[in-house]
Amino acid sequence: MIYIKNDSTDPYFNQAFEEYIFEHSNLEDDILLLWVNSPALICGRYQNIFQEINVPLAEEMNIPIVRRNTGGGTVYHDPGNLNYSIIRKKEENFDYDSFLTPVIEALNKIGVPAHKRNICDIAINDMKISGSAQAVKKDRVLHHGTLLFNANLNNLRGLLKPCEGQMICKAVKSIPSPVTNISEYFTGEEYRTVNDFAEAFKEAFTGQNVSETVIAPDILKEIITLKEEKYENRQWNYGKGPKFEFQPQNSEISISVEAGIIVKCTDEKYIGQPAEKFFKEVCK
Amino acid sequence: MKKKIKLPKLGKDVKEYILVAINKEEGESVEKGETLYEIEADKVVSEIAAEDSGVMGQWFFEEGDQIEPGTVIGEIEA
Repeated sequence: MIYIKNDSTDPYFNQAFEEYIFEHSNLEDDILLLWVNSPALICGRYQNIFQEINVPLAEEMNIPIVRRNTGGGTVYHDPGNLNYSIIRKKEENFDYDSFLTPVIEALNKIGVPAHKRNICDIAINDMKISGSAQAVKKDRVLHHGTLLFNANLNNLRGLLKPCEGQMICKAVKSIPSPVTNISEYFTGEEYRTVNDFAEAFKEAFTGQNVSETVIAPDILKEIITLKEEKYENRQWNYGKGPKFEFQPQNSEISISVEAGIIVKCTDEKYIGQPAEKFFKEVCK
Repeated sequence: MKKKIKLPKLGKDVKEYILVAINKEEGESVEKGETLYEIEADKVVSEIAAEDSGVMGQWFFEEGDQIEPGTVIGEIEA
């Protein structure tokens, strides 16, 4: 197994880093990435941001919203959440279990009483500590997941409350679950920080059979270009969302949005504007 | 010659996929191996590559549609 070090906490950079490694590595061996984001909302590939997130609140709190390449729902990341990515060659009958079983075994080894729940969640008792998702491209699979260590769960709940109203949209919807932090289940002083936890998880997951590497400066440049051109770009984050129609509760104004832009509205001043302008002004 | 684009069945328990992206518009040229469209089921997004080179013909579905595996979703003029 190859572990590629990435100390950045920039959510735009980290999405670009993961995509670059996924698309360009030669995959002679499985790859593990561990990374932590500063507070950010990361939505699934085919989600409607406005159906999932309180966009005006996220802007007010300066929390970036970033679309990822994998499926599923929206997750809140902060420095108390450890993200892992496993990249490997696609096998004939790959599934979630072939990725999740070693993750759960590593968690158990370091004292986390975790078990699999549903198709691709990890839980302690009935509370979710980890969700995961995948992307498949040509000969390779990316499986990634969150590990809630000591995340701010109050932020998570507030930011994932979108503006109420009538929404018509074919997007993939998030499925909310009760969540908990892994740190609550440690009785001792074993892991004080997410970095301690990450180090212990890495050792348990990789064993002795791991080579650690860092990204060369020329590759780093390409990752930064990808970050700037794709993940920091509104055209990706908002423009790749599905079209939708929406009328907020307690408002007469309705909108139709395509590629993140308002194409029809009962109030003409919003036509041609980015949808977030409407949500900021009408959905306070 | 028109070649049908049939939605594959990638996972044994998948009953339906959501078409999450169409990457080639009608009339656009297509190279074999290029990503033609993307589908999602069970939080897995799969990029599907063109099996033939040619010119993209008609798409019979649009983004956001839920489609059963085996369904013909479009055609390429190969």
